[in-house]
Amino acid sequence: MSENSIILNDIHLSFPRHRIGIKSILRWVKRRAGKDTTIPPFDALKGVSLSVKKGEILGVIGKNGSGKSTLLRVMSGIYQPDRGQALASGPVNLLSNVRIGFNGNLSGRENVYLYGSILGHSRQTMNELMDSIIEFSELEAFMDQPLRTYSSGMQARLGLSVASAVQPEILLIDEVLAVGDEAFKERSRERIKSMVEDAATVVIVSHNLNYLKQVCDRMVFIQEGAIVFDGSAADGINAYKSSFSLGGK
Amino acid sequence: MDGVRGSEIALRVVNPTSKALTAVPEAISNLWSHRNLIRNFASRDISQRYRNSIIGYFWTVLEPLLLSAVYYFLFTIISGNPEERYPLWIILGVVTWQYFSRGLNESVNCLTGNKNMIRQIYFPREIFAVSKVLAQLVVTTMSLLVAIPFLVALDIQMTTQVIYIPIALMIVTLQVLGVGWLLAVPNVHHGDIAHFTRFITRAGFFVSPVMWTISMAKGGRAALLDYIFLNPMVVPLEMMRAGFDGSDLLIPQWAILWCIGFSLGIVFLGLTVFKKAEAKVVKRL
Repeated sequence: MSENSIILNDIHLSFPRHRIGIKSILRWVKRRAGKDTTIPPFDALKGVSLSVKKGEILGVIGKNGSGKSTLLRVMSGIYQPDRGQALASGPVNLLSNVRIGFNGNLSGRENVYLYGSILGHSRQTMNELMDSIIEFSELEAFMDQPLRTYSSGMQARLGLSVASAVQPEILLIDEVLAVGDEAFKERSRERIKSMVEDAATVVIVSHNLNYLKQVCDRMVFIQEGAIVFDGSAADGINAYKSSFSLGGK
Repeated sequence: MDGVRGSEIALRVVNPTSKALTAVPEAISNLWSHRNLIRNFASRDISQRYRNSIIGYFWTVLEPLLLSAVYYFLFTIISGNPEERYPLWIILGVVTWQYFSRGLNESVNCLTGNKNMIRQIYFPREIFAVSKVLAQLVVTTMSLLVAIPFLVALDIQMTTQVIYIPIALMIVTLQVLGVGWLLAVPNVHHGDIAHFTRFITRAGFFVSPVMWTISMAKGGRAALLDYIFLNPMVVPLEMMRAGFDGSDLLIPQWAILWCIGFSLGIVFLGLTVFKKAEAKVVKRL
């Protein structure tokens, strides 16, 4: 299989430290006078080029703040790159926070419908999926209670049950592997594993190196907004680990 | 360059910026394809608003009724005997103004108020303002039922002018969305915008015919009356009253044209600006 599902062409993305306002005129004047007080913008991604083939499971590793989550947000369209182009072959589903749009005053069932429509499913699809969602979440007795009466673990269980109910074509996962209690964690790991296996294309951001080693065909290591390694999973993890020992010396 | 041919499958750009000319049609087709989501957001807003109250939806009627009673009391103190229909006029004024005021404040905050969702998932962001305003529109329509007992008590027959009611609501909707979209983007940079719109909706209450009507203002300085008509909320407020009680619409034609032109223009401008700037401004949320 050689078709590409996701292509990133030289993506640059920076977060400005200043906002446009009266002070930006002052800064401009000072810059003309030779006293530049502008704090340069934070470059989250510095020219990332990457293509993910159809059927590939790509792991992304890197330290906190290295740009992993930003990269996924660019792939899913949340952030638009300042320069470069992000292309995808179909709808991209980002699984990051599994409690998007949850509202404490609505019942569990109403929240399932709401979250489902945020994910782009029609009411009819949600009606069809409802039973399997409730079954997987094991929250049948609570479905008509307001969500504020749920514990945070129960909310996360409900969220993951909805988010994983439909098999997406392109799946981006941002460290949602650990929610709920031990028993549910095990089942959600199973569920995500089967999603990963069935999805045409998967990109996973995680710090769980063992898990990545098991499932990924390919690994990308990001440092300070740039790809420093792209290759096999085992080599990627070695590169990542050696970057720590180098930093330590 | 919207699509690049990959090896075999066509790839498309994820979340492209709209071109200035196609922004409005693109946004409209986005809204249509996400109508299910808009409906769910709106019904969430409505159902959670009265969730904890004993009399529930009755508040939609009771609140404007109580407010109008206070204004009516105030007005009779100031100017003595009001006209027979004044209670009806003031209620319609209050309901219409509440729609404008709440709708505008909500749509201006459509990006800042949904930052958690915007940072987690992508869907066209023009949806937020539309669903908020739709929820307000439904509440407003329920509130308008309060006029019925007044129509009975005052023995008013509704005429074909009833068509003014949906037109007035439409005009307010367009204005609220247009101004909201236009200001939502700068509001992300500067919270001052939201404070300013709150001021506008409070001060506007007095310079718009909410507690008073154009027919009551005819006795004042005629030269100033023309300037009143520049306020784009005058037409929908007066239309609402003429729609319910069948009285003549005391508004010059140019003012009606100005109001409709303003409403359509501001939606076009607001949506274009929003679609051009929204993708970039998300980084600041």
